[in-house]
Amino acid sequence: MTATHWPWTVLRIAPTEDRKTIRDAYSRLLKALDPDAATEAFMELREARDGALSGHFLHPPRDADDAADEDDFGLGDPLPEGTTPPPAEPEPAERPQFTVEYSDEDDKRFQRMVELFTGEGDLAASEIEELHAHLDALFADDRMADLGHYARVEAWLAQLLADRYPRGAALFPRVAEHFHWGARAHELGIHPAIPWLFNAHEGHSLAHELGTPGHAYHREWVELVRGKVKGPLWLRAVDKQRMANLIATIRRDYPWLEQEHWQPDLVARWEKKVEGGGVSGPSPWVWILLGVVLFATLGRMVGDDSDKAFSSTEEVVRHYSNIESAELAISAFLDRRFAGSDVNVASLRERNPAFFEEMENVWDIYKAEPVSFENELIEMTTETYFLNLPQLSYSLLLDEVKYRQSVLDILKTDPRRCADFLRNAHDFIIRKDNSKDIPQDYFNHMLRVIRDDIPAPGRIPVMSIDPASRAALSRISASTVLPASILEQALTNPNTSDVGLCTSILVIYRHLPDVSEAEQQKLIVASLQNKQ
Amino acid sequence: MIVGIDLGTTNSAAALFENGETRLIPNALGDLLTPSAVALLPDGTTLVGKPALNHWAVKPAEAITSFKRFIGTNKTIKIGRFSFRAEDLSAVVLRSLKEDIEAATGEEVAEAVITVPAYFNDKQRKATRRAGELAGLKVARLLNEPTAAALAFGIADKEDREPFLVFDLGGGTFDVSIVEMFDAIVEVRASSGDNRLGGDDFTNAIVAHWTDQYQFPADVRSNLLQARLFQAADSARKMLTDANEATVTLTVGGQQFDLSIDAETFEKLAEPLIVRLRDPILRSLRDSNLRIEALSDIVLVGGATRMPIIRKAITKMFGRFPNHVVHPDHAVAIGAAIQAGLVARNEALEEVRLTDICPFTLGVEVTEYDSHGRLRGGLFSPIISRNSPTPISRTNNYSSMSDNQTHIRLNIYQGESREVANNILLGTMEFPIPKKPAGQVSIDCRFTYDTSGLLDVDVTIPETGETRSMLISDDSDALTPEQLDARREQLATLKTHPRDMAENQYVVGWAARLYEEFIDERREHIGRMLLDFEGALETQDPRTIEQARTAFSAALAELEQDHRL
Repeated sequence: MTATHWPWTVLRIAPTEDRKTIRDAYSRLLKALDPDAATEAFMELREARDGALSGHFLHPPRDADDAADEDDFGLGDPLPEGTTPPPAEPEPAERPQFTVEYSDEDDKRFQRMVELFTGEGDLAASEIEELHAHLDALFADDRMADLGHYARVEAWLAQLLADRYPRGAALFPRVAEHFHWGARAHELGIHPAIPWLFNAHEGHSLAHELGTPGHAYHREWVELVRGKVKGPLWLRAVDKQRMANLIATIRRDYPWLEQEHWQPDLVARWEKKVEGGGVSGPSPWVWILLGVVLFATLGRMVGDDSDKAFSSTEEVVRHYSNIESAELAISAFLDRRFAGSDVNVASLRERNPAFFEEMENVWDIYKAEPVSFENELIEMTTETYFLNLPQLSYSLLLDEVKYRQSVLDILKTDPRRCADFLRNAHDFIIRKDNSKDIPQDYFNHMLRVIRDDIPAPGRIPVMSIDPASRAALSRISASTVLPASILEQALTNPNTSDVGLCTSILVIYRHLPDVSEAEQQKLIVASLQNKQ
Repeated sequence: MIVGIDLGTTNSAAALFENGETRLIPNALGDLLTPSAVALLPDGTTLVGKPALNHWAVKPAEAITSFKRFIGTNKTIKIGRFSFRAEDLSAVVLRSLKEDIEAATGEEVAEAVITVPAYFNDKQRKATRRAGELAGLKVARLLNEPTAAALAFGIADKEDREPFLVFDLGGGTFDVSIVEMFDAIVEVRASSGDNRLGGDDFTNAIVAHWTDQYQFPADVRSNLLQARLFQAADSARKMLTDANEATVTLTVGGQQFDLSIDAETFEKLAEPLIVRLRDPILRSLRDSNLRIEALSDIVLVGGATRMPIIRKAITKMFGRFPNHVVHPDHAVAIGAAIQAGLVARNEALEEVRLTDICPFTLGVEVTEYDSHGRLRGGLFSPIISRNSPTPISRTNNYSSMSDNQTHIRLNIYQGESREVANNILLGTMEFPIPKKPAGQVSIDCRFTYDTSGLLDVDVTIPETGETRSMLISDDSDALTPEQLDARREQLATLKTHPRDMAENQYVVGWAARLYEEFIDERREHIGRMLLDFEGALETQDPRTIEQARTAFSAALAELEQDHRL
């Protein structure tokens, strides 16, 4: 708050730098007035004092550039051209200034972290791991209890992350979580770069999703990034309304994404099209386009089932045509969707009558729509399986782990989907476009378990969810490069990053034989929990 | 006469400023602290303080503690067949304190300074003021608790002080204030806090730990067991102040449990709570633009700061030892009495002034156009920013949103977030405006935040010259003076226990509690003594009663002593 008036007339003293004179004048005047009765006078007096103490009314305003001209470790241009840089901040220097003692080792660590951040391109996996290890050491440090130390480490990391975004982006979720930035992001006071970092992080996740086929706006996004999508004309149809939406949303919330990814000429062309369409009314081309869109939608409705597990509608319809009884339908379903499984109608009805009855009900409802019938049953199967998972015996859990590992091996190149799978396997599997990554064996296993092991729930006591011991995790971590704390995070913390979750669980599964059976059990149970 | 009252979550206290000195007023039992507990017997008699706590341990359905946590909310608390709001219960406690002061001074008490946690919001403050009014007290001022403690700390020698930090961890709330003193002016520079964190949370951590550790009877959720467990955990927590291990014997449903906890386990249990202390401290430091090294002192207030783990955490956080000069339980009441002296313009305080701040940002909800002409609703437009010195009055101008708009609805919020959804809605006012094209009608919205921390909102439409004051739609605040009177009368129908009987009632309650705790021959012994004492009460002879009471209390104290070992 700075005074709008010349403070010295209010304080009735000559301009001075002497704090005592200013305070004395304030004190004398304050004691002569009753703030409750003369609120305006009090406010004026207080502003005058703060203005006088600030020193702004002694000299002409200083040039703001002086303060901004700080050494940025020679990191070079911190951000891509045109993006809004986070506001300049005097901190950090080479390392934060501490009130606590620090050793040469600490010094080296800070130096090393700065070095890791300053490289070119994206961080390599080994570099990320190393940084995580440094963060572990930093966070676990007893000295973090000292508030001065804590605040400076926080500001230093915020600045480092912002300066080198997106290179250090993989670390942001962890740092943000550690310092509770999520809850305090609006408090600019912590560090001016933090709200910016949140926006950047969200934006990058969004860009990643948009770049993944299957996202509702994927086509529009590709159109603006690379121009026309390849493929037949009807597949290239782009909805104008959605295009307008996408452009406006990106501009409003993540303007820098546009500069980083989009081709300006493509965007300009689309803007013109979007606007023109709105004013001049539909041209013949629009009708053609509409027809194309309609066709494309139809095509999608028909064509989306065309992968390994989900074949085309006609085929399904043909498959179930002329089937009257539920029993035959279920049998046909088992043939088609559980090929190679030893589960058949008779054994299913005998050993899990309740489930079989449910299947019959589904047929009654979806008789007319074989596609929905199949999907419903698949969903029912996976849901029943996963709901009962915590009650299964240990050997079945080991089987589950085996199948999960096979899925992870397929997905490990795509951390986002891999993490989706680990966070909630059931939701992942029932999404159609994911089913191609789930081995048929896995499906068969689920049904077999439902038939043989689930009919009597409560037979096996619900497994205790004792936290997995640190000792077990550190034993595993000893034979890998991942620190135990990351493994533990992956098991316990729902906000673990995709990469962290995926690699950690893979590592844990691979090294299960290294630990005792009791510990294995705990680790498995912990890993099977939904993490959402 | 104006008195100072510390209305705490766990304990309350009253103090007076007389002849240049502050004096705490003892209650009917001679204690300086009155537990903030209320019991309501089926016949409509109320018990306050220790007797109520005793009653709680025996019949938890008829008593309540820690109700300050619900003040300012619409929660109704059922005791027996009566239902109350937290402010009614606070009023019962205030009325009892008022009677104590009147008994001690022989004068009628009409006005009071009541303390509230600095981080209390407007609703909670207004509810506290209503509690005062319901108890028949004119609330001269609401005073922030850490500010009160700072007054008590600073006024002691009236010397200038560099900024110091008041760390106030009470039973239910946590406040931090940074205060400076020069020339007998006590100036609060910044306040922050967490109004859902206090000693009770630490006790609950122990309760949760024990519930995991021991196999309690199946009705572990029952009120009685919870009440007893809470009391046991609370005394264990207090024992840990001086010892490394605490064991409490608890008898439930004929079973006896030796509940124990050691300091190390407790420290582990408390860790997540300790972490929550950090953010408010850092925020207040940032707001007052100070480095942690610049603080001249850390002043501890509130009973919960007695816990060694808290002291240890503070020592670590600040890298130095806190100051123990002020009494953690009395400082707030003493500060309130000093403020009362200030309000009454007491001569001994002629030179002393206090300036406080508003600890949060206040503003209204607005809709704005973004750079692409798109409407963005639910945004917060601050009018008074946090840590502005009080009293303060600020005006902002807003205009209508659409053509021919007929009404404006003003949502008033408190909080720091850009989006109102994350802030606290304090109230809503709606009023008609002249029909005009969008943006052509403007209103002046004036927020006034007074020294009690109460907010007034006035809206003026310059075009018509019409002015309106805040009419909050929230029904908790919509009490008219008549309604307030009605409620006061309703509360007055509750009988207070006769003052001269308070001690007897306390001893009987104490015995009843111990009776439930023992299962062996000692129980029989207590039962016999209880019968004897009731016989003594029948005689109605004050001297006989007093003798019997003294002997009875001594016997009970001895039994309890054994029990605790």
